[in-house]
Amino acid sequence: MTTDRPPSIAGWSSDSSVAERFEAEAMPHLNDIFRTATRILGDRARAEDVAQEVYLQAWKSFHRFEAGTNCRAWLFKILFHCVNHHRRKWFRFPQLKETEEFLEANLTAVVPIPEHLTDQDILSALDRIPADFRSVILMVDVEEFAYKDASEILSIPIGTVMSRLSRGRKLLREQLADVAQSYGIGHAATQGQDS
Amino acid sequence: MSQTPEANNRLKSAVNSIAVPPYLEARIRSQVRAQHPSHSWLFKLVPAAVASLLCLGIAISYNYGHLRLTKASKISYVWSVSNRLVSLMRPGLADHINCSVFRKYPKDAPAVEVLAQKLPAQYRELIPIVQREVPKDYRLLISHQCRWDGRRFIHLSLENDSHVLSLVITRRKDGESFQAEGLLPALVESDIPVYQSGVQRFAITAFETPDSIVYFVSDLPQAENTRMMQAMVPAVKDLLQRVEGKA
Repeated sequence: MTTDRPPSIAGWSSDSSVAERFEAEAMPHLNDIFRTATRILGDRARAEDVAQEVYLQAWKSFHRFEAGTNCRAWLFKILFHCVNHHRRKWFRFPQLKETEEFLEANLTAVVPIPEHLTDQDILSALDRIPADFRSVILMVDVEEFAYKDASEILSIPIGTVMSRLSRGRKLLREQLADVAQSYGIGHAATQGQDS
Repeated sequence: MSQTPEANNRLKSAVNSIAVPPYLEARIRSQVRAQHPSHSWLFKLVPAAVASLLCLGIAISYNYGHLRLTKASKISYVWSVSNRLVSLMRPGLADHINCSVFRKYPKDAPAVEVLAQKLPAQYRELIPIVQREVPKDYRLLISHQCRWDGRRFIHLSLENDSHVLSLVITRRKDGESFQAEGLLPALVESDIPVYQSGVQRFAITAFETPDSIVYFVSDLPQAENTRMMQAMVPAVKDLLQRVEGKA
């Protein structure tokens, strides 16, 4: 942290030992929480609101967090709880409309990985895949949670984590291939693959 | 893309390129500061606190149970007070305590006409007699027939902001008389001996007719209680003579 970091919670709280633990165990994960919230919600302002809500809920229920367990996974679980709550509230939030069968049937063949895409291209592609698949990719591929942890965080069976990950990855590759094609990258390769 | 380490790194790098607002951390700290964390030990104390309160409640109920106004406790109180009097003074005091002291009546008493309907017709004339002799600030609260310890009573009760009065009439049983109780009259009014007694805060003045015993009970000073009774003796005596003559 920089020197102009705001005073810690412990400095303000009457229960300094709890506040110190919260400061040490929860606060370092704020960036991950915010970035994941941004990618899940597709909106920075909402992501800020949700990140604040996550930390407030975490603080209020910090007595339920067992010392020595995975605080990061616990925070992500709260995050998805908040996101699901807001999904119901913000009905504009893009839902997973396609059934998994539909997606399975419409997935294209594996395409070569475009190499010259920017971070923004990758994020745009990620945002275009359905939220449920995106969540699994973020948990497993970006945050590197084990399948079991991702299953607990997202409150879905571990088999669903694995299938959504597989299909999400394929969808992401397809999106990236489309972007690459729009840049004139990988078109030939795709044609070659198809033939 | 996200199946190889290189592809995963690209994806992570892209996600981590999202800039986190510099104020977010400070804002969260500020919000958290305003909230107190829940304390698990407090939750664990809840059952203990409930159990303690329950025990305390039981202990208070047990120790102060005699203050509860159960029927048994009322009877006990009435007897404990009236037993200090000669036996013929007791019924009037007991009925006064039972009806006028223990009972809860609405602040706005029914109209006198309504109350009068609760008395037998031959006793309704008691209401104007009593109202005439008590100060104007007393309002009639009760006029009814009641029963206590096997006796029937005609009972009128009045109250003002400070005091409660009762005129109580009951039938004499065989052999009952104040003279037989060895009481000396406090005064004689209209050829009728008037007796008085008192216990605790209650003042009782009484006289007897051939068939009835009339009590005037209040929490007034004894002299004032007797003075009020004295004023209504002639009229009450006349009324009772008419009632008893018809009977």
